[in-house]
Amino acid sequence: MRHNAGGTDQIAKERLKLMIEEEPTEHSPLLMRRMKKEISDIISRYYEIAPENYEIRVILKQNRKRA
Amino acid sequence: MGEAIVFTSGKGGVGKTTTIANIGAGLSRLDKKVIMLDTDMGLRNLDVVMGMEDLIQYNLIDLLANNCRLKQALIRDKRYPNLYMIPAALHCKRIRDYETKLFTLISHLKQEFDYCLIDCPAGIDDGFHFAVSAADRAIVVTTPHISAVRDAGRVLYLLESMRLSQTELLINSYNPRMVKKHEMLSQKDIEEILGVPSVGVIPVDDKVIVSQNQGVPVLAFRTKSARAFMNAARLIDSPRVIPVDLNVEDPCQKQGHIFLKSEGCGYEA
Repeated sequence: MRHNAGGTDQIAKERLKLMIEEEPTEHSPLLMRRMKKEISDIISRYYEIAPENYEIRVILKQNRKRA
Repeated sequence: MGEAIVFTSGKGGVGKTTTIANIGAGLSRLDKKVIMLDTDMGLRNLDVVMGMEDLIQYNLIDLLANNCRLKQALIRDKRYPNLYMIPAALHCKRIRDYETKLFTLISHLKQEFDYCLIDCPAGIDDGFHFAVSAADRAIVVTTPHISAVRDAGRVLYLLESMRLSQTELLINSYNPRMVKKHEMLSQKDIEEILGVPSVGVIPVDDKVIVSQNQGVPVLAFRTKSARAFMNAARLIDSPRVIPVDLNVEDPCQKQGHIFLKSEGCGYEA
């Protein structure tokens, strides 16, 4: 946690990220949302399409749980 | 058909009640018919913030238990057009027994009002589930404090399973100067950590306390937080409005006290 590159905000951010990742992990909706956000960032890098005009859905084949 | 929005946070003291009071007043200024429901039983405060504590005759539980009619429990705000509220009860056991009745009440209210704003108690137990049960949409109020962001994360996690159409953040007590110095989580940081967009960023403002001392929403003042609340209200009402950048120095900010003297509790459209 000695990432004191600038201010204390980055320390807080890293601690929070760790805390939230520790939440009940089984397909945590929060992680899913973050993943979707990252995927959508990648999509918008390649296509000029607004996020409300498409939907990202992850289907886990193992137990067919939808997220 | 109106929309029921619950304001929740997990952590207490982040400004849920302040937010409801000001977003309610803001939406009413946008010509919407608004009703605010306080579900924080035992620790009701919305009436105090709105300066309506002397007007209470009946409360939400009286209404849900059929001890009074809707018209008797409604308190109209004389300062804002079409702004109403129903206060919370001071005692209530087994609040979740009223969940179906709350749902019926809110379905009825949505036919008459454009917005039904629900003030949720702090915590994530029965009171939280009661408040969220009848909502269509949730706004999670947080501050840049690490504990508030963490709790917001917990609440967002719980909300995920509650079939809401939309969840957004509202960041309160924001200090742009500290953010600039990298001593406070920024709006972008918080949105990134929680994975949810924010509908408003309210700068920390002494006028919030000043206005609440008088039982007036801070919206009645010409101050930075009032402007931010008004922007948030616009954004909640129509998501296509581009919010004003808070980092830009505002000319009114420096001479705020001059406006205050002449304006008192009134407001301009």
